[in-house]
Amino acid sequence: MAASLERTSWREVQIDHPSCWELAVASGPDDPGRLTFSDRRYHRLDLKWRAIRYVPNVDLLLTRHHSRDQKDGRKVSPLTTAPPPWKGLVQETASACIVHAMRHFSGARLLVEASLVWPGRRDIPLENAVLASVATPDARQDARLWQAMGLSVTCPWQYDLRASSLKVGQIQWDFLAMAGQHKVDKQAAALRVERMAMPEHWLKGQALRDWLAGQLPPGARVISQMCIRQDQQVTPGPTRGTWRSPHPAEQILSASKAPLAGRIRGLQDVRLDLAWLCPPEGRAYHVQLTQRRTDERVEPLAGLQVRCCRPVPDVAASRNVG
Amino acid sequence: MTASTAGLRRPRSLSAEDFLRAVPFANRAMTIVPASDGGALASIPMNRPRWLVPPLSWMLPYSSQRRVRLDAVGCGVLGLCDGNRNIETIIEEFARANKLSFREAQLPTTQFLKQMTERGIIVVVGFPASAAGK
Repeated sequence: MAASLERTSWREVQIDHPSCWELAVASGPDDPGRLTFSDRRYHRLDLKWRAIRYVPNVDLLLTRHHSRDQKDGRKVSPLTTAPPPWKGLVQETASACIVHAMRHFSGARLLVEASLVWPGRRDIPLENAVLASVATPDARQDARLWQAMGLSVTCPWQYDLRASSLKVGQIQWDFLAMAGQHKVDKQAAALRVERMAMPEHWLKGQALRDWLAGQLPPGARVISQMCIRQDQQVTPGPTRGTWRSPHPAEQILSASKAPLAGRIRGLQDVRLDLAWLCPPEGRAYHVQLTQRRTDERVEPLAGLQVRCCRPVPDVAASRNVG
Repeated sequence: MTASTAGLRRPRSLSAEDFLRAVPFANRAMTIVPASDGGALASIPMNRPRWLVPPLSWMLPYSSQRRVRLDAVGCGVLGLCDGNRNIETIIEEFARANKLSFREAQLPTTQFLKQMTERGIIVVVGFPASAAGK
């Protein structure tokens, strides 16, 4: 088990996997849970999960699966090496060995299925480490970790990732506070986190301060603009909370017109933009909080953390791993 | 050189392994004029279509060269297409230069190489693993 493990935390599950197995598919909001990882040449891991109200009989499910596979002429045997309570089957084909494993998380009421593909030699210790690492974060916690695609964000539990976009080296996540399963809490602030590789390309040669000013919506009025020193505890505008900046950062507090219905009630869209460059990663980060308010301040989210300074991926080391 | 002139047949489907082993070659007939912003202007000579004869050629505008503007990032990738590096190596070098992971670098690089192939700037020559005795 030479490969170093990296954690991905997405919606209801988290898993550790070799860093050379990169995320290829991640489920969207309201979709059945799914993560797919692949290395340079093959799909390596497929993780699916769904909420169920009853306790499933995993043995019965596997027995049915096994008998169906045998009827179809597949070479299938029970998985005996998995860390309990994982159970599963091992399917051998001419070119690969595929491990199907299943586990019910009673606390979170989730049925999780994992499929691992071993195109060469099957690495049982690594397989067991990956399966044993699958966990479901405790919903009673105040904050939840979202970690994938190079971004690592901890935000309040009621915040859900409602949209994400991925361009060349640029990843953007949009979080909204949920008041129910499908209902958005419009009183709470909307959060956007953006991470950009090749900052000289995305910033178009501008200074961070000028680039950030260019990100404001048309017609926005700047309330305050300031530069934050490294590790400085700041109070952004007339707000109650504070930020701790990991690097020298630029911050703009601005206000723009709310839609007509909101304007009648004296509301405006107050937005806090914070951006910084992370030299060890060679990335630019942009955090944006928008809230509809009558005054000119934004409530910082309790427990919000955006982590940077993560190690730069070693592409050469991942060439022949796994 | 194209796949047809080399007597090669286009495979029905290409595995990821075969694709990463393929080697892009820059068009030797192309001329590149560097720009001040780090980019460049590539000019690729084009054959006049056989049907473009007078009086049609008097009415239809025709240029003997296709010009493609490249930004600094594209120039860097094109510079790696020297016929000695395969696509996997090009992706690795692009990733290393820009502190990207392999997958982050793979998507833009392959898209760029596809566009450059469509414009006649490069040609990608594949070496299937089966043909290489693997």
